[in-house]
Amino acid sequence: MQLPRRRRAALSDQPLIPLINVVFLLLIFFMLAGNVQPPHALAVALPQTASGRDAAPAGVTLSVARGGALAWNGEPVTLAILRRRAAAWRRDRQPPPEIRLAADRAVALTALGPVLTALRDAGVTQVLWVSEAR
Amino acid sequence: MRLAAARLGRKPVIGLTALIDVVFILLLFFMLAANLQTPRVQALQLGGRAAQWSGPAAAETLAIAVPVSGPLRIAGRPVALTALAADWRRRAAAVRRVRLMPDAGVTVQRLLTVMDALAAAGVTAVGVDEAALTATQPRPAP
Repeated sequence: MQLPRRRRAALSDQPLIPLINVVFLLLIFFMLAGNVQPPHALAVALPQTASGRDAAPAGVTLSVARGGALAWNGEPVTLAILRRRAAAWRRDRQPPPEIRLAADRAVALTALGPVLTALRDAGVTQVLWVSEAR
Repeated sequence: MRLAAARLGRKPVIGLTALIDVVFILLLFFMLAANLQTPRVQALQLGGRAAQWSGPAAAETLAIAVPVSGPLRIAGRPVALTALAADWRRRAAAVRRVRLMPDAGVTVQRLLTVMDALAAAGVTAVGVDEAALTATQPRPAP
């Protein structure tokens, strides 16, 4: 009489197990597929494009806000700090990292001129413009 | 664990419900905080000023002027963005790369729209002339 009651108690969690499996799978999916870090330190409205290749963040991401504020991988910097860091690549004789330019869509290119010139002076030959799908 | 505990005749220390609660909270956190959209990128080569152009080789480079709005200007001739593919197909044998010369006032969105059209036309190597980036006065349209 006592044994069946015990077995029933032991099996009471049984219907929950498929649910837990699914929830665990979802959890693992979102942990692996999503990136939690904020994409931009500044308020940047990315330009919209129809083409471009998808690429996970790598190298250095330079954010440029509408007002011209700069951020280096999310850390606010000035143009002088940017120049100093870029000069360090040349001084240390290391190739410059991949540069991603996450510039606000309304920024004028003339406002980006000093940034691009500083990058080119540091040996950067190519920048990757970050955009979002239209 | 539970079966063993039941066999021993005492309750398990941690119930399954508490575990599910925690997992649900973790799931909600990652669902809300995670950003699934991978950023997309478009490559642009940095050249020098027109005189010391260090981008794609000059002989095979086609200069394209990018006004703030309206059609592009290729060798003085207006070419609409939609007509770019046909125009590029005619030139593709002689020209391998494109050098963009944006007018003052051209925004990032405009530049990327033009690069979009170039990519759709099959141009892979695109550079920008920095002389045009440092200009302070808007150049008069020809």
